[in-house]
Amino acid sequence: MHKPAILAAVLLLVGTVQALGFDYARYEATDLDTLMAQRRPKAGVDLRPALPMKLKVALVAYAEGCESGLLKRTMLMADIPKDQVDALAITRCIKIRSAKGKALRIFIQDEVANFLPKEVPLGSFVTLYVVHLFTDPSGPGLLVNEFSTDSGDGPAPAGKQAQQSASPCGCGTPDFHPGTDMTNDAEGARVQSVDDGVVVKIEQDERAVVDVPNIGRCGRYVVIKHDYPNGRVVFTRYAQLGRIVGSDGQPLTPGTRVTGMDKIGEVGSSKIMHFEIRPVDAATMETSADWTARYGADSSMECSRYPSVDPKTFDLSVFGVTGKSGK
Amino acid sequence: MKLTMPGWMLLLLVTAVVAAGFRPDPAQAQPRDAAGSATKSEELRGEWRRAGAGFACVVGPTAKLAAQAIKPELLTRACLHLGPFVVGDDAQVLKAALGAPPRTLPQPNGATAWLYFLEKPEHYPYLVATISNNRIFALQVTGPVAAQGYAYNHIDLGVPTETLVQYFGQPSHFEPSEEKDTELWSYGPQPFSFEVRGGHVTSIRIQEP
Repeated sequence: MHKPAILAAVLLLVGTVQALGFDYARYEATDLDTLMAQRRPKAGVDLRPALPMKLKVALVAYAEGCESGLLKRTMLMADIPKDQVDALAITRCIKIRSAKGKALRIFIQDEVANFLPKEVPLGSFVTLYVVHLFTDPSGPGLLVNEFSTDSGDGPAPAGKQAQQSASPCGCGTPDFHPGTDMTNDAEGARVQSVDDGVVVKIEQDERAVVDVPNIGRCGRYVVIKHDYPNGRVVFTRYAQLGRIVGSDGQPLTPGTRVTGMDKIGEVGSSKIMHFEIRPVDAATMETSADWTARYGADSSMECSRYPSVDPKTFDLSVFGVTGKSGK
Repeated sequence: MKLTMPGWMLLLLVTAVVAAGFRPDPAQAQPRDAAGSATKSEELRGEWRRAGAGFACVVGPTAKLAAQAIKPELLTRACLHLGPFVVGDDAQVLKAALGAPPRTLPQPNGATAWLYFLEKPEHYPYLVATISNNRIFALQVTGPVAAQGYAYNHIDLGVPTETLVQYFGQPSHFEPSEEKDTELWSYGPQPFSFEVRGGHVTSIRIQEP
């Protein structure tokens, strides 16, 4: 860990530290979803009294450059001495995701940011020790002072990674489940496309790379891209499948055109089919350098660029103005 | 910037407690009492002070004030003075003191802004009173340098923001103002706010809680 390197900065921000290390106990466990649901100003900045908080979140993107002028101003307004604020190097932000899948960019001390990629894989969960300095229309303004990869009671032993249990269907986590599960009593039961589209991704490996924030842990899956006459595009994903075969019993392949109700696979041994809808939306599009580095050259992973919406309330026929029900 | 009823009741309570022993400060009495009322010139003057994360309107104490003289309506007014005027007063007080406003501007919800130039026509500083139902709903004084007699809670126009912070602390909210290069500092839910530009106070506003 990198505690000695940032100890001075921590002293500035929280005032009190234990004799020989970071004072984790001063950071109160806080739910990021609750924090993000707090009232935001329509314009300008609400100042906050630099409360120390401990957040357990999924890491979506490593440090990206970001302008910290406002952050430093609010630190000064929180009565942190100017020379100490000036001495802090804060030029980057990281992107995190809450248990309910809400993304947020937050500031991080450069010293801390340097260690993050070495200790926390993208997509895994991490406990962040942050101070809340302001809230503006985009959400809470947080600064990361320290992180740990354990449950949040302090740093983990070297090499120990946080263990995360999957949700019942195996996708996501107990707190983050991007989509909905459908059950069927019969393994091998037909799984069909919800609408006309093109198969853009087939994952046959049940142990495909774990990337909880973007795609979850979902075993074998199929992604279909639906282009609508109104110009809108949506991806649907069918996961935890058994065989991935078409109506003719032959393996499905990327590029295959399907029509609504066409068979695209079969229910697997879990007898659960995990289903997601990911509308293409510039407002929610993932733009981080990390996503680009990871998937930018793989067009079949474009769907991971957009968050899943609730299939129970999202109406494809309205979104695509197809005049027919998409479900 | 509405003060909640419980918050206002608490404020009154604090004010009432510290009001015992008050005597009007002649230095703060306004030279021009538009209403010509002795009551007005001697009425309570309060001062906002930080009370934890919030504020309390503190009155006196410079001398004893008879218990029967401590009335909620007086205490409510104590921290709502700007110059010789008080938020909540009849709008005619303004006309009696300053004459008909040289400019009026319609405001939302049927209110009207009366604009008075305090020194020279068409120059800073100026006073804007928002009139609603023939009463003064808000008072705002604007200008780059002090307007004689219009200091508010130790804050004159033109003072550095450090002075503002000294007496009011940091704002709870700030945002760009409609004026160029100017920020609005507010202390919600308190009834006062300030505009600052270039590190100096350029406007002071109080309104009905």
